[in-house]
Amino acid sequence: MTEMQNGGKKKQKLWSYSESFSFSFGLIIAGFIIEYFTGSAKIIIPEWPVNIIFIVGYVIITAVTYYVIKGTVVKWMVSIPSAIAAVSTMTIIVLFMGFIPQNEGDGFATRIGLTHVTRSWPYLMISLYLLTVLTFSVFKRLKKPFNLKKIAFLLNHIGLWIVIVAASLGTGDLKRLNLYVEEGESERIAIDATRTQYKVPFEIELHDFVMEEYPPKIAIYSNMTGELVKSKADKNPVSIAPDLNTSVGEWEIEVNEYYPDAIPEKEKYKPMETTGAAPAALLSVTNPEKNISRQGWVTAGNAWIESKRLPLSRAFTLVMLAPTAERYASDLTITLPDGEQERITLEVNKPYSFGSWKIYQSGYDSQKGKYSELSILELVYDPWLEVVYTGIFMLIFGSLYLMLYGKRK
Amino acid sequence: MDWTVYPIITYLTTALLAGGMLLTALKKQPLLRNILLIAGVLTMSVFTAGLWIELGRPPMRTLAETRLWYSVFLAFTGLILFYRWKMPWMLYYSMGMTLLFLFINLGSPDTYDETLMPALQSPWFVPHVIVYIIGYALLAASSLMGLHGLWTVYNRKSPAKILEHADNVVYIGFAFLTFGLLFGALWAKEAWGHYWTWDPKETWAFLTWFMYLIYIHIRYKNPKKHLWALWTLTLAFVILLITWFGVNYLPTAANSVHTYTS
Repeated sequence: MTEMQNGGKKKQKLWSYSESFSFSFGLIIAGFIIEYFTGSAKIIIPEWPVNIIFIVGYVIITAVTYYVIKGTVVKWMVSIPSAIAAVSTMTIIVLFMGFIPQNEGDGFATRIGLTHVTRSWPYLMISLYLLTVLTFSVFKRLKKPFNLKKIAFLLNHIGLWIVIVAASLGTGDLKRLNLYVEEGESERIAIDATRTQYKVPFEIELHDFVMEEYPPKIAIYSNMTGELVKSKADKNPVSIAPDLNTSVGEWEIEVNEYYPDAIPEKEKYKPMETTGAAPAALLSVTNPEKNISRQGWVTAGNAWIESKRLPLSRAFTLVMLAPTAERYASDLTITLPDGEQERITLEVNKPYSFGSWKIYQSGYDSQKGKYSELSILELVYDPWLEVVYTGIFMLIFGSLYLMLYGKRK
Repeated sequence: MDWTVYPIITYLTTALLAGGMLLTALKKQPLLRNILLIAGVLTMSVFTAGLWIELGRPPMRTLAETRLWYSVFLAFTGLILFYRWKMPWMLYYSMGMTLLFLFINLGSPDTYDETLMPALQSPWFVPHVIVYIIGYALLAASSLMGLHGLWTVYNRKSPAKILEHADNVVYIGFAFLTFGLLFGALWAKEAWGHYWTWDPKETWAFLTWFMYLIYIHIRYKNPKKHLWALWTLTLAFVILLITWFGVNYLPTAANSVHTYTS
């Protein structure tokens, strides 16, 4: 650093902050102008092997520029002022994204790319420039001696480089497909977002789709405003339990009977574990101050059973809210290309991996809820995953150094 | 232990921490001071742990719960930094912030939701949130050092020493912030199949990260440009505050995966 400052002064004055900022700003202004006249960058991320050729080509070009051509421009680009200017300018572009809702609206902001920043020319140009500054800074440090401090520098900078390059160019090979499979059936055709069909290299058979739900909640709402009664001291809504005794404001609620699965019979509900059953409860609600006493059944209802609420007074009504999913899962058999079969339970956050494929539990027939006989799986094919993970773990180790040693002189 | 005892916990913590800070200011009874400060921090920690057990899940879903963690970790970080750097103002700041968050909760408790949506039931969830809270607490502290530095400059003294302290705090905080971004990316990849979607919270977290990146590089290249560094630190804190509190109120917040409270 001192070597650069001294050397720079003797020979010729290297571009510093004002020139660096002027250049970076000039770059995005040019980007805005291109965007305004030609529309947003229609960049299609290339698939294998074109993307790897791009990456290798980029490294060769930057390496030749740095090691062979050299010159003042490289010296300036590798300097910290140019890095700071590039990072600052990138910050400004991303700030627009932070304030302007993306993918909506039109008008001038759209014309210059501010409503689709990540697909706009100024963003792409400053990103590529910033990446090149980063690349040069790595080249600068890629020489002996490799002490701990320099290794940490390289872990942080190369890790970041790998993450940026692999995560962005890798998306060219990324396939995200949805596979719909019914209970008792097998499927090997999946569709992407554009409804194009793909035959995947394995077959999936769904035995059973299961969902567990949290107990439903009951709540009192105001007929005037349609909103839940706000109560600081009490829970509203409150999770139901077989012998719950609670109060919401002036109302005292007692659960007389509660069935997680019930079907209507005459004016009552009886417990029955069958498709289409809904949670139901018999409640006693009293308001001692106003001398009101009510007893009645409530149910959250579902696609088969009509919901039932309990009117308390002219102003208030008690309802049971639809239960929310605690866990849902698919009991599957996967047949791999070599004919090997594996029986698995697939649930949210617990994907199944196979080669560069990952299979996620994604959804179900939301109309039928826990009685859904359909499971929706997401299939992700991402051959770049390990590369990105390598970059991420380099960054984690680089950051550990920062954490343990702080700023070392 | 649940939210019904929360007011008692808040008042007890306030009394203990206030006592500890008073002794710090008076420079008396260091042993009693330590006992009071540590007891104050432990009181909150025990409540948080109790709440965790009571709810059967990490209490990290509602704003009230995240404020609670922010209080706990600000207090911890403040205590550690106080013992490490012997700067009383550091203690007052972090404990003051701690109490502020505790009292915000007292005034406006969020809905006491017992449910956690399936996407949040991930092993990455706790580390993701905790490293952010530590990182934010450290960076908040560094920003206060920045303000202290600006005050020193205003009084025509050199902020060099303060900036050297701030450097270390920024480095440590920046490391935590990086962990937060990376854990978030790993979690998103696991849960949704992509690392980064420029969700508004992600966008602002990225901006925060970049601001401290600028600070680190300015300090590396131009350690004598004190005012640049101090103003960058101040500006970075504004961005950090927007990331932490402000994103939900921005026009870009609709459909953010980071908005769980209704």
